[in-house]
Amino acid sequence: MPAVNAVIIGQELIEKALIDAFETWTEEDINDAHWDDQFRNMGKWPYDNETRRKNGEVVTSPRDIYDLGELHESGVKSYRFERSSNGAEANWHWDAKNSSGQEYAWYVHEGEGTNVTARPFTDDISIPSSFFFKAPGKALKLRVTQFLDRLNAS
Amino acid sequence: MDISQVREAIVTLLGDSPNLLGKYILPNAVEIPAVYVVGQKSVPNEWQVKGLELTIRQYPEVLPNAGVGVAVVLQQWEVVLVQYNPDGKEIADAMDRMARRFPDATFRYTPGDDIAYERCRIIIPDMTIRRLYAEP
Repeated sequence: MPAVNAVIIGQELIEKALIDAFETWTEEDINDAHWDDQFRNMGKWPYDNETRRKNGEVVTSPRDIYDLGELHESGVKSYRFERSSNGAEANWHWDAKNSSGQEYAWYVHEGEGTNVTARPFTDDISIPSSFFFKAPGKALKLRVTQFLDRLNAS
Repeated sequence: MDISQVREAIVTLLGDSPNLLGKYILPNAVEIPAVYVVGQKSVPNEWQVKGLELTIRQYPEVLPNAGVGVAVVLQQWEVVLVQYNPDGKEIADAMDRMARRFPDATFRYTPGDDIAYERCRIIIPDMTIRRLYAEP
C-alpha cells in the first residue's frame, strides 16, 4: 500500500517570516505608500461642493484630502508596530485637531459636519470583503510570498 | 444586482411594517419617502428631511479580478442612513434589518454630536462573474 507523509518543519522560522512580512507591509506598503495615495491623489475623491482651503486653493471634484497635510501627517507619525507572544499589531490614530480642539478625522472619513461627502481613507484596509481585491491586500499577498520564498532559498 | 434591485430590496426591507423610513418635504409642501439615489445629483438643498433618510450611491465600486475567460467582479454598494430627528430610534432597527438581510455587509456607525447627525454607512459586497467575451 502506498503511503505518504507530509510535515512542516521550522514553524518558528515560518512564523517569524510571516510577522516580518506583515511588518514590512505595514511600514512600506501602508504607512509610506498607501496613506500617500489616499491623501495626495488629486483624482481620488468625488465631492459635492466647491471648497476654499486653508492653503488658499479652491478645489472642486474630484480632489485630494491633503490641504496643509496636518491630517495626513498625524496618521503617518502615529504609526506603531508591536510584536508580542501572540503575534503582531500595527496601529494608526489620525489625531489632528480642528480650530475647536476636536479631532476631525472621522468627519472627513464619514462625511460629517461641514464635510458633505465621505472620504473613507481607511476602507481599503478595513473592509474584509474587498481587502484582497485592492492594492493593500495584493501587496500583503506579495510580501508573504516574498518572505516565505526567502526561507526556501536559505 | 443593479441599482434598481438594490433600491427596491432596501426600500422593501425598511418600509415594511412598521415603516422606518422618514420623509422629504419638498418646497411645495409635498411629502415623499426619504430615499434618494445619489449619483449625477445629490439630494437638493431645499428639500427638508424628517426622520430616517436613506441614500444609495448610484454606481457601485467595481473591483475586478481576472480569471480564465471570466472576470470575478466584486461590486460594492454604499448605503447611508442618517437619523435627522435626534430622539428617533429608527436607525437602530434599520441597522438590525440590514444586518439580517445583508450579513456580509460592513457597518460604519457614527453617534450624533453637536455638529453631526447620527448615521451609519453600510458597504454591501455583491460578487458576480462576468464573461470576458460574448457567447458565440
